[in-house]
Amino acid sequence: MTRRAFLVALVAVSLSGCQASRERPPQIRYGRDRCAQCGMIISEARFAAAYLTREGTWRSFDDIGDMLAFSKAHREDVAVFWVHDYEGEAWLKADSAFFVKSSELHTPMGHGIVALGDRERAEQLARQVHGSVFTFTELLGQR
Amino acid sequence: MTLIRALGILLVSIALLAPLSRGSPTGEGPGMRALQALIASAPSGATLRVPQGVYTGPIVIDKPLTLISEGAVLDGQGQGTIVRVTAPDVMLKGFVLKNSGRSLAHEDSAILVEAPRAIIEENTLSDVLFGIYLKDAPGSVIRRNKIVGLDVSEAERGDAIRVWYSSDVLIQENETYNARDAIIWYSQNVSVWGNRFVGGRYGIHLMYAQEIRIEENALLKNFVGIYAMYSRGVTIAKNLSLGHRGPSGYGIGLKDSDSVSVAENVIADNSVGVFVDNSPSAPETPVVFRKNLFAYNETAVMMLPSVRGDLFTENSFIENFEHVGIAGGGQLVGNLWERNFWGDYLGYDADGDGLGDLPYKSERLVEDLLDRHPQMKLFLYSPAIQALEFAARALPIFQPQPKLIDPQPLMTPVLPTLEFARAASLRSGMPQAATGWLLFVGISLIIGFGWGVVRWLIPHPLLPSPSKGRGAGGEGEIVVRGLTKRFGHVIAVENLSFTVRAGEALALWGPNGAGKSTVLHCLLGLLRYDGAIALDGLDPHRQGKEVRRLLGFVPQQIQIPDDFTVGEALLFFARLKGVLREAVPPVIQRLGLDKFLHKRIGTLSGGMKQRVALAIALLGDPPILLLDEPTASLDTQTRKEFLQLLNELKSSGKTLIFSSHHHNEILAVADRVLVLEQGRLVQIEHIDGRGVSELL
Repeated sequence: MTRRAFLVALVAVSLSGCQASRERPPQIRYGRDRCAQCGMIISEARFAAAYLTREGTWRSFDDIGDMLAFSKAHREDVAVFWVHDYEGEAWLKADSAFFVKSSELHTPMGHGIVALGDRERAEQLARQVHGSVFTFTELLGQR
Repeated sequence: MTLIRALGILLVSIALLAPLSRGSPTGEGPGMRALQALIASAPSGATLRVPQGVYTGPIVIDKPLTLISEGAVLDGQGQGTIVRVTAPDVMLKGFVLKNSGRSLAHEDSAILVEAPRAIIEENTLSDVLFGIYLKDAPGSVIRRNKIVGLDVSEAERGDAIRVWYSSDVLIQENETYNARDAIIWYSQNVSVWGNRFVGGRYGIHLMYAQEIRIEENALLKNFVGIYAMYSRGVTIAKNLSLGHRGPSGYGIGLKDSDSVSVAENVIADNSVGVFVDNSPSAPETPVVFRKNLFAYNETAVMMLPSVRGDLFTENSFIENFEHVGIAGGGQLVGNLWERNFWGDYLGYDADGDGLGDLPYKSERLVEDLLDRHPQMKLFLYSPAIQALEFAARALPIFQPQPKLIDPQPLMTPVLPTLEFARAASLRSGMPQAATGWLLFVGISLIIGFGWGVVRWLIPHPLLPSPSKGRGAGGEGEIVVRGLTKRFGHVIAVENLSFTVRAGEALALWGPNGAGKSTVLHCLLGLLRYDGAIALDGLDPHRQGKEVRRLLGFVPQQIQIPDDFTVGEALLFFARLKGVLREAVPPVIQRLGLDKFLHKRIGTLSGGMKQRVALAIALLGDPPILLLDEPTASLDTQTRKEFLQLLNELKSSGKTLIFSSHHHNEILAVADRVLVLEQGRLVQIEHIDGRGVSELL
């Protein structure tokens, strides 16, 4: 292998590594890890959120509202925002999730925001808890 | 009206008893349906006495009623909430509730109250997700309940107590185990008093709460004892916060909280005693720490460098690895440190006003490094850390900027614990639980270690030089020269000199006020004195830690919380003394405590309590035992057994010094007697086969 070929291969591997880590959902140890914003122990998966910076640092949160507050305050270069499905076991990329906001949703820090994987379920929940449905872009714009 | 109510009670009781007399209403439905039907038919304001039996949930109480259990068990069968209260003025007393649903999303609870003025009292809740949930239930009382959470991982637990938009609430004398939090959300004027929170996530958790009083609670081995977040007007007083060493590991945490008073608490054996983040958020709402005892924490107070407006005054910082830490490093500014006691203070008090004449500066190099690089804690207590400490002392150029300066530190620790515990005892309405807890920690500091304050740096010329290891004149030798102790104008001990050989038993004898206990307290390093003392060549003040390893102390009566078991007490003291767990069983065996390990201290006889005290003194196998009238509260038979134990210890080579009023005790154990009178030595007698009857 020539030197140039080696370098090209190295760059390719690095890029695919970055891509892979962006696709890999967060690994939060519930009952152990602490929220980057409030310092509380992250206990409930259904309210959890996290983001990965372009530098490769994970930030984990016990409440989606805390993630929004932290990202606004620290303005880090975020590669991907993740939110946990309120009703299921899956992690969702925030930009493809639907968010319900209501004071009747008792989230760990009281922000009252949860995420769901599809709009229909989100609207159904919003009707139950007298809330509204938002996209992630809309939530970011509110803060 | 009274007649109608009495008739109501009678009818309901008869009706309830009828189905139950055919057998316990267990199984699907009938019991609960019967109970639900009776609630439906009961007049508003009636009292229902629910007989013994198992009733299956759920139940809804939708009118003002008093339900009193006479042995009734409400079983949720793992489905939903067991009891839901939707009407005001409901009382639920004495029930056993178990097996709620498991859904965090639905917040399945044992008791959910959604109306004002409920009284939930003396119930036992087990295997429940959420315990007692007050939701828009102002004016309610949660009193003397026992709540045991589910045996699941921390992440799957619910709150033992949850108060949600419910003001004017009293949470009193409850016990919770293995739940998530006792959490108070969006509520005002809540009093949390005399409870015991064990093994949860946050013992007491405040979120956006105001005017909250947290007093005389025991918070044990949670992740965090008390965490106040985004709250205002919080009083945290006279609590015990102990053993928080899991994730976070704070005895007390404050985040974005204002107007907080933290006073007279005992905060011991935590990873971090107090954690402060952005509290106060504004200078006009200060946070005040007063008269707290911080002991045996890895870090007593950890603050973010941005914290401003905290006042620390009259607190005692004793035997913490680090008294004050700065999270992430940096400098602390804008906080006041006034008249605190610092266990490692090296100054002096020439004018005798009780305040040090030199300021206390917290400036350890190692602490500074640990603040900036927490991962270095891996090397705590290692030779590497010791080398760094040595280098910093030898070459002061390495010393960092001081983290804080206390201009006039206290020369003696404040013991709020003992003072307020005594006051609590006098009030006496309070069961001795909290009192005992607090006395316990105070006494434990004395029994386990003594205060060991470094004061004198020059060895006394009349004393033997300290040996490189233990045992300048044999392991357990004690040399006292010219010991004098004054309390104001009163001379308690005057120019006392004596030597005790290793393995010898010396009795201190004399009337009350002769100075016997004062001598023992000087040997322990609890009191400052003139003259010199050496234990195995070591000075109790100058080499406090080393001396404390040589000593075990048995007081006249040990104060241990009644609800501690013998095993728990021994393990706790072993941990405080840094004794390995493996060293505890031999002590248990030696003192014949095997069968009592699960007994609670409160149920033990006086003799057995003293046996436990002796066991605690023997942890770590110290060569010297000091005993202050150890059999004073024992009857003749128990005293005889206790003296037998002391003789066995003497035979095994322990050095004993004990004070006593009983001549038979002295004859049975002592080799020599020091006769004291008004603080002076008037006679030394040897005891042989003929005894010293003419002396005594």
